[in-house]
Amino acid sequence: MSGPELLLVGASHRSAPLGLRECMSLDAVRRDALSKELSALERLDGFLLLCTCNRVELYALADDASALERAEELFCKATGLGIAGLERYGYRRQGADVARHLMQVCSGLDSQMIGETEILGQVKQAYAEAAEKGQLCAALHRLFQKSFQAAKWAREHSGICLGQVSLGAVAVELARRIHGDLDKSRIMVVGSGQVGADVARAMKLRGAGDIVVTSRTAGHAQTLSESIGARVIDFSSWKDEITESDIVILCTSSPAVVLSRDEVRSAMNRRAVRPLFLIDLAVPHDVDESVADLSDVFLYSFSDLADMANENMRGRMAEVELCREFIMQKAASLWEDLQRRVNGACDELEVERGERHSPLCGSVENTRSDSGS
Amino acid sequence: MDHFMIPALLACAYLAAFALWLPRLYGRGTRAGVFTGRLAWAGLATAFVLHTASLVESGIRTGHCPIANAQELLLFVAWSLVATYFIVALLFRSSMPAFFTAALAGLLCMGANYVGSEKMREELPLIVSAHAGLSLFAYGAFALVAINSAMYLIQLFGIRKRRWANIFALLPSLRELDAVNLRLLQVGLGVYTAAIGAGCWWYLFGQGSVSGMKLLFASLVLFGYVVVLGLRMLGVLHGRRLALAGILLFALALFTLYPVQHSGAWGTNKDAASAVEVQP
Repeated sequence: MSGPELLLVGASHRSAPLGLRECMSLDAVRRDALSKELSALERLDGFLLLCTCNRVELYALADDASALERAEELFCKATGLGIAGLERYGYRRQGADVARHLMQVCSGLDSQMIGETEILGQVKQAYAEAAEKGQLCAALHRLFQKSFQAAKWAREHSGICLGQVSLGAVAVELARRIHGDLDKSRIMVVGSGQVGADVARAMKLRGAGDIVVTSRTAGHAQTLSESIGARVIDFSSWKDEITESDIVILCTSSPAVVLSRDEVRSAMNRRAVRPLFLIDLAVPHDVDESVADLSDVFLYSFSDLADMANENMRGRMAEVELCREFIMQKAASLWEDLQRRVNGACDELEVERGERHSPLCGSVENTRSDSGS
Repeated sequence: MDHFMIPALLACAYLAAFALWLPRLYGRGTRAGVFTGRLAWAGLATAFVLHTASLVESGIRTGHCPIANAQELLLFVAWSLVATYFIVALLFRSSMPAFFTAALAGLLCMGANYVGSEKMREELPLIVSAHAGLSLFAYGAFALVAINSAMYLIQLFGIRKRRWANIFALLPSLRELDAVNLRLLQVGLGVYTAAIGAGCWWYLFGQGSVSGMKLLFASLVLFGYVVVLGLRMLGVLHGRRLALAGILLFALALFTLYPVQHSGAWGTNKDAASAVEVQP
């Protein structure tokens, strides 16, 4: 026996195109079916399936190479990737490389948007589900716990999570710098463009309570309002609503300017003393650019928000190397630790009990029965 | 401890608290940034406690409010500034960063190190002490208006110029700054009016005398803040213009301290002819 081996197979946004990732995606039914097949494999100590919109991965530990090969085959079959597809569009890692990869994933270093924290929640969710179903052995438990710790360190000791890097988050941050808490602000969305809807959704997620939408096509406004929990107002009266609004998001498909300087000035004269934040996401512009010169009016265009997001992203990238160095060290020491524990425990138990596996390298069935008891 | 040690020590304490905030500006959200931010808060609170203790000790030792000379005046203004800051931060739950307050308090204490500490005033009646103390406390509130206004202008600059540095995210929103400015103006003007009222009472009913220069400058400051507050409440003056007015008025108010200090302000009618020895 050559000792326990850790395996990772999968594909992500870095290796596979979007269309292929969509085909590979494992819904709950396919995931359960694959889990059952993997659980049935003899001498597979533990495994975890990670399925997000950007990656599908299998982490597995076994002290038998054939068990890992079989697990890999089952994974490739379930995802439709095939062994040849895995060679071309996926990746296969073993040993310390798995620990390094997982730590990078948890830290957001391997994400499409560097430093995003959503992935950590998704990995934790997958970990919790696998633990509940008894699919993890002690070594995998340790691997994931240590990876969460590494992610926490990366967030707290580096700048990879600093600054907003999506258009919606940048718009929210700006709105907060102008108006403070969004729950006290009224937001109006004019038009039904996708980017405008995304920004409005980001504001809703961050506490905006009063959102109204309007569109030249009533049906579009209705659809948007249902998706973000907003009220619909009549398109003919939206300019009157500016006096009541704190943030106006414009994303119409109008070929000409829909909001002139005089109209904004007139609205500002009629409204109470408070600033107005105009977010013009339309191309071509919906708002006359000279509006930005008015007192208490803040006009941001799509390119302004994109520039700010890119600037923040550059700031994050500068921190990536620091995190990578830390993760390299952590992954190497974790792998040594895991090998020591697993080999030590196996040797002891082999002497004591012959065939039976230890809790560290015990089979899936053993782990499940242990947790059940 | 001699007269120059206390301002120097206080200046060091406040400026140290200010310096501790700088890592937080750089490393916002990181553990190191959060830690130094807490340390800075603790530093500011410690400096304030020391400052309060030194004023109390001075008051007990001399038997009057410690505003007998230019050094004590500046130290009292710095103390009022920090005290008002803590009141505003706790009362209005403002997230206004304290590093500006610490910096200005440090500079005022440093300034106190370079001005005269010779006694310029004999013992004053209680009402005059109250007048002077309240006036200086109002100056603290006005100083906070100026700090708040500076933060408004910095935040405004960042938003207008599309800047995304850490400092902008640490500053409160424009609306919050504008609202806090309004409250501070109300508090400062209320306290200042009470101070002027006490002075008038002494002048009218307490056999006091006051120099024309002092009266002129005190009235000017009062008038300036009344106009600004009135225009703000009418919605005419707000945002950037209110911030500029807050800074300019505080500069004017500080400028008037000098003529007020040297105008031979307070005395009694009995010694009005030679009333050059006492002033707030």
